[in-house]
Amino acid sequence: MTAPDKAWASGATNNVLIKVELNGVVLDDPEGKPRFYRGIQAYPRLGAIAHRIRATDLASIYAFNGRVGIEIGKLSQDDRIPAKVSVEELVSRHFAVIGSTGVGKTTTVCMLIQKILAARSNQRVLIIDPHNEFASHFPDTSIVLDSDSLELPFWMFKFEEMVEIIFSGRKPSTDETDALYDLIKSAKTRFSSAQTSAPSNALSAVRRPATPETGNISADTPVPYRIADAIQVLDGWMGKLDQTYPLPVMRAMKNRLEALARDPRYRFMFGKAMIEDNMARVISKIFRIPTDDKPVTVVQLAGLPNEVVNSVVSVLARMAFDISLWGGGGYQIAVICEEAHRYIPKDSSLGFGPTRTAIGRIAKEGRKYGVSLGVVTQRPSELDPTVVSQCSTMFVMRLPNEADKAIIRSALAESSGSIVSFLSSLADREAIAFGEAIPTPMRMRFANIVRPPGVTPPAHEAGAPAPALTGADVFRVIRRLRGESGD
Amino acid sequence: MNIEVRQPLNIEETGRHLRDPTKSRVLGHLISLNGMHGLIATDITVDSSNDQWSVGHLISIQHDGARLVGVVC
Repeated sequence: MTAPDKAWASGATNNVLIKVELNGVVLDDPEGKPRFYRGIQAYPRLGAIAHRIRATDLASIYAFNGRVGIEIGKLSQDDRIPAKVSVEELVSRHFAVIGSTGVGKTTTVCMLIQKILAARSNQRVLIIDPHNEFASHFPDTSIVLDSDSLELPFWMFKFEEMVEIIFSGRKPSTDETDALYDLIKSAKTRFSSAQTSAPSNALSAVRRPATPETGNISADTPVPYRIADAIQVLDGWMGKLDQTYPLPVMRAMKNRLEALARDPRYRFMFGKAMIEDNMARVISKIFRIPTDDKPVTVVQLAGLPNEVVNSVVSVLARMAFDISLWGGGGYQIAVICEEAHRYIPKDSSLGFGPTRTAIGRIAKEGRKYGVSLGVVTQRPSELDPTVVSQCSTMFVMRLPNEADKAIIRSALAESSGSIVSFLSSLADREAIAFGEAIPTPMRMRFANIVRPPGVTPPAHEAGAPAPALTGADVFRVIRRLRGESGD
Repeated sequence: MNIEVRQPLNIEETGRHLRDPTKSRVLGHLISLNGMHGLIATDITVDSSNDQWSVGHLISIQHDGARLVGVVC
């Protein structure tokens, strides 16, 4: 928008040039109702009259000609016109919520989840919550799994995921990798053999309903084993004259395994209850089978040891896909990945390979089996472009960074590219929405989240300062540092 | 502080609220067109209601029986 005279006369009439981008046409159907069509079929002549858009034309642009849409907010241009999305398209083809810090991404995602659950009774939602901020939004419909309540037995982790934990994220040597692989396989085989050789134990038979033949067990097979068995195997190797692996490697591995098994922060992986074959119970609880009226699982990662977070996300994403895959289409789950750029970064040398693979697999193939992805990020330019391109619907909130805006521009249809130019000037809770679930790109303001009666918003949302730390709180912090449960 | 409470839009009312006879819907004229991008010349006075030209808002351009929709950018 420019004034060609490069001047402005107050109180007088000024000539102004307005740039517009054409993106569709409204035609009246035989009954006289306006219908919107994307693209331009015939171009106007010079001198054609530009006018304020009719309200009915505006409504027809954002109407869902025959499709079911749910209201998620109002158009910025006219707050009497609802902004609607198709839940089916939103969930089945993945979506992304993008915006810089503090623009209301979390609240927006929670509102979208509420709408999705209201529209799809059989839908589950798994929220990967790195900052422990989602639980308060779903007090009655979610279970919250934190460092105290999460159960994820170590033997359910694949070999690569265990490598990440055992070696604290560093790249191990070939000897270390080979030794760990052999060790896990031997411990699993030893445990399975012991179980098989004690068939008279009725409890054992119940606990181990589907253990494969011991010859089919690999380090990736999710069957139980004991850390004690693994340490015994290591002791046996170290006692041999002809050692397969260097002694320092085996000694360091033994020390690390013993430390992990004793560390209270890893209780969710190595606790006593993790030795029995409780896989069915663990899966049922995390993935809400049945839902028991709580279809949302919030996995709070903030209290978990940093070196284990990537592996936990990898296990959860991988299992969500596998359950949907083998569930024969009878299981629908949306995996909401907050701070997605941490797990699926653009730079393949960063992040954790198995996590990238697991989330990438959901992005690429998930819609065929009923598992969908909700990507939430403030840095789309740092996100794996493959995952971005798989998100068919995007809600882009205020975004000042030019590199991030370039990613959005590339995701938009050419005819709508100009809307990127005002991404940096959007208000809080305002967004540009576009993609498969939306008839045409729209600038909209999200509705407020609906909280159950008696549920108060978190302090940071209400604008209230957090209560000051007292002397007693220091002991609470120390207890948490030492991994002692309870507040 | 006076807050105007507006009722939800009834689509069937064919934009009655925008058909105020005292308010012309004509905003300007197309003076340039390059593929998907057009340039509209208009006259603006300080006291006139110019919110239709806010970036991101939609306007329409009359062409025979059709109304082409454009976004202000």
